[in-house]
Amino acid sequence: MVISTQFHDDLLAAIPSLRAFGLSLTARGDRADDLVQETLMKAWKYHGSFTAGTNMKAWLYTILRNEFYTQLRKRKREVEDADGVYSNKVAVHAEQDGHLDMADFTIALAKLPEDQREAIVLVGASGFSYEEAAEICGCAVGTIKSRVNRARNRLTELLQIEAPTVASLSAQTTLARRA
Amino acid sequence: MADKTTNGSSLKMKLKKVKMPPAKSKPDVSDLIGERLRNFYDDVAKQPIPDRFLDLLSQLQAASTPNKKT
Repeated sequence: MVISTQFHDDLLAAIPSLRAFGLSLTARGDRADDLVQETLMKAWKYHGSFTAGTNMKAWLYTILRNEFYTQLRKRKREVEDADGVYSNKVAVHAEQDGHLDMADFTIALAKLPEDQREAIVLVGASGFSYEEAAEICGCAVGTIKSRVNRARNRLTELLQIEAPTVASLSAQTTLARRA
Repeated sequence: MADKTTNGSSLKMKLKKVKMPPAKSKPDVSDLIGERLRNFYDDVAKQPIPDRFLDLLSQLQAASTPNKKT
């Protein structure tokens, strides 16, 4: 089989964002990179099923996502992770993998149900439209929208982000008027 | 807003024009959560590609390229 240089180059270009998506799903660098590896191999193997000119990024994200759920199901069969154990592991890995200030966000993200997590990441960070995210996750656009909203509310809660107080808002308004 | 001479159907069209989202609706994640999410994501995405993936792609390409050269 002959695979075009273009396909190779496109795969290469997609690696950085695939790694980021993988990390958002797994919250662990080692597992994220294993997912990316598997994705690249599958993409290469099934390159014939990719239609040139269509959204390759979305195609690759779909492969990575499928791989993630396959592994998740396997792992769940192997070990029933007691509540909290997963979060603790994530916390340790988050501190090893990244900056400390990044760790609390990673932990908060890991506490979301998978469906909400992938929705907010696809739409909020990967640059996909709601329609594309729905395509990748195999669900309705409305479902993606409501998952994104729930994810955002939950993250706000977990990170205890305070809404701006009336006082600080009016101070800002005053400054803005003076400027 | 619409003047009195506007008939029902063109008013409907006007509303439709305003309310219809573009074919690809832009998600609104412009708040603080969105910012932290993008920071988290971009922090990984801007890292150099690890060697293991460069090696993997070279191997895959080598395996799929016919040996005989023209």
